[in-house]
Amino acid sequence: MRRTFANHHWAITMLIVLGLLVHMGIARADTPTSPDAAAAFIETLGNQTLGLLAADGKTLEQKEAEVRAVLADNFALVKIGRFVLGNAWKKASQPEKDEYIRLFSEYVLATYSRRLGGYAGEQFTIAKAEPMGKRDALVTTEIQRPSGPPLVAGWRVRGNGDGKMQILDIIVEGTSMLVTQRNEFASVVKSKGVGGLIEMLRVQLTRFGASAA
Amino acid sequence: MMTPTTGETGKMTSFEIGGIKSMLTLVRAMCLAIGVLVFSAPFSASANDVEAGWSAYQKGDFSTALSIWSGLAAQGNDRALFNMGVMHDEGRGVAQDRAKAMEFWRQAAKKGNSQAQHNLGLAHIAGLGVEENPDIAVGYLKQAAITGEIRSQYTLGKMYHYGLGVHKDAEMAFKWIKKAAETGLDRAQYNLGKMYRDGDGTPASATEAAQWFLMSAEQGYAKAQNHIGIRLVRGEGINKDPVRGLMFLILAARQGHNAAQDNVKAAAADLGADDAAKAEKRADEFIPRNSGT
Repeated sequence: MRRTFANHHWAITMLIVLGLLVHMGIARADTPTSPDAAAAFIETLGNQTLGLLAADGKTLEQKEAEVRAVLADNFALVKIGRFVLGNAWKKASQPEKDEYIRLFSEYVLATYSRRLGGYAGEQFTIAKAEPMGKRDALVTTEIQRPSGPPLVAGWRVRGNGDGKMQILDIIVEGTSMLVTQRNEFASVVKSKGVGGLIEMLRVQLTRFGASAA
Repeated sequence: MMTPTTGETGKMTSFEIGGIKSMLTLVRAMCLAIGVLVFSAPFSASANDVEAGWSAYQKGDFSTALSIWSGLAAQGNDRALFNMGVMHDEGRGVAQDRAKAMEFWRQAAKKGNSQAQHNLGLAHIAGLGVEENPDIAVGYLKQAAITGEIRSQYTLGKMYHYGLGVHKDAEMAFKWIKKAAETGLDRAQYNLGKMYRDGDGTPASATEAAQWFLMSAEQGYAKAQNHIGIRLVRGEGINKDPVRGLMFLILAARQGHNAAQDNVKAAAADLGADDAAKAEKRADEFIPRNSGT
């Protein structure tokens, strides 16, 4: 019964994400992305990332900086940033768009490299890969944990037709990164505009992380 | 009770007196050492435990770090409370729970932890895990800024600049941003350059503006590199040096600064191929100065 509910929840999330992507013009009918190629892309990227995190002789901060660089090359940051900003993107000036994308990228990469920081030495497997929408593929990965159920994540991948692939979204336990981020920023954009969001991102990036003293 | 031994005359020889003195010194030293051990034990053990948690954290073993720091947090250790807040805020080794993170940071902030005060201030600016309230944010930022927390000084300056949680006050904005800039924060140096350029909270000065843009640019801050690049090309507030100016423009453009990309084209066309190549080479060899902030 619980599993049925989880699957149902997952399916609803997928539909919402797909609907929003279509609405934003991100999902267009074009060359479909091969699920097998997308799975190979995620497998290579995952191994590379976990390998960096498992390296000896470096601080966690250094390792996460390396992971950030890898993710930066493989995330469709401009597309994601545009989607997250919603209709406000069209009203923003070019310098605002540039600054927003720069800060948003830094924010997203910092968030996800930190999330991955705890998976050094873990093993992940590709559970399945399937088409998503008309153009993308959804790769589902599982990380086995010592206790509790495995961590299941969905990676929405798009190929550009000449072999280059990029991640458009991550869905963890039924929650889409795109939708979460969009909801988080919507109220700021509504009350303070894109300029206010830029300032908020700039300020949030000065947060202190854990330290020994 | 110890009786001092004496020599044949009933008087203590200098050797014996020296021996007793040595013994007393030894006893005093032992008492002192025991005292130090007794009184410092809880503190040093605590510091060691924070370090042990940090060591696990560095290995990505967040569950061990959590287990060590949660014990110390329960004893009121401010660093452990702060770190517990970070782990809940970032979802490291535990499900992300911003409300819980705020609670840990509030406790650490009460104990004077300036990083917790800073993070709480930021959370109240954005309303992340806590009510959006610029007045409360300013309160926390002031506490941290006064103790010398550079990021808080800079953010407080911006709060005065925008009139968020405080009355808009250009001079107070200048005061706090200058403090952060003088300690070496690249963003603060860039903003101070703009304030001198515009006469915002301070009399306008092209020379001061250029100097602060230059300091920020040397640390690698792209926007400042674009500003100082243009000033060096034109000789505005600083001696003209078009090759160095183009070098900074190239560095900014390489970081994705769009206006700098256009400025590179214009400056390179004016300079000619040889000087443009020199600027490119200097950009390749550029090493950002690290202020440690």
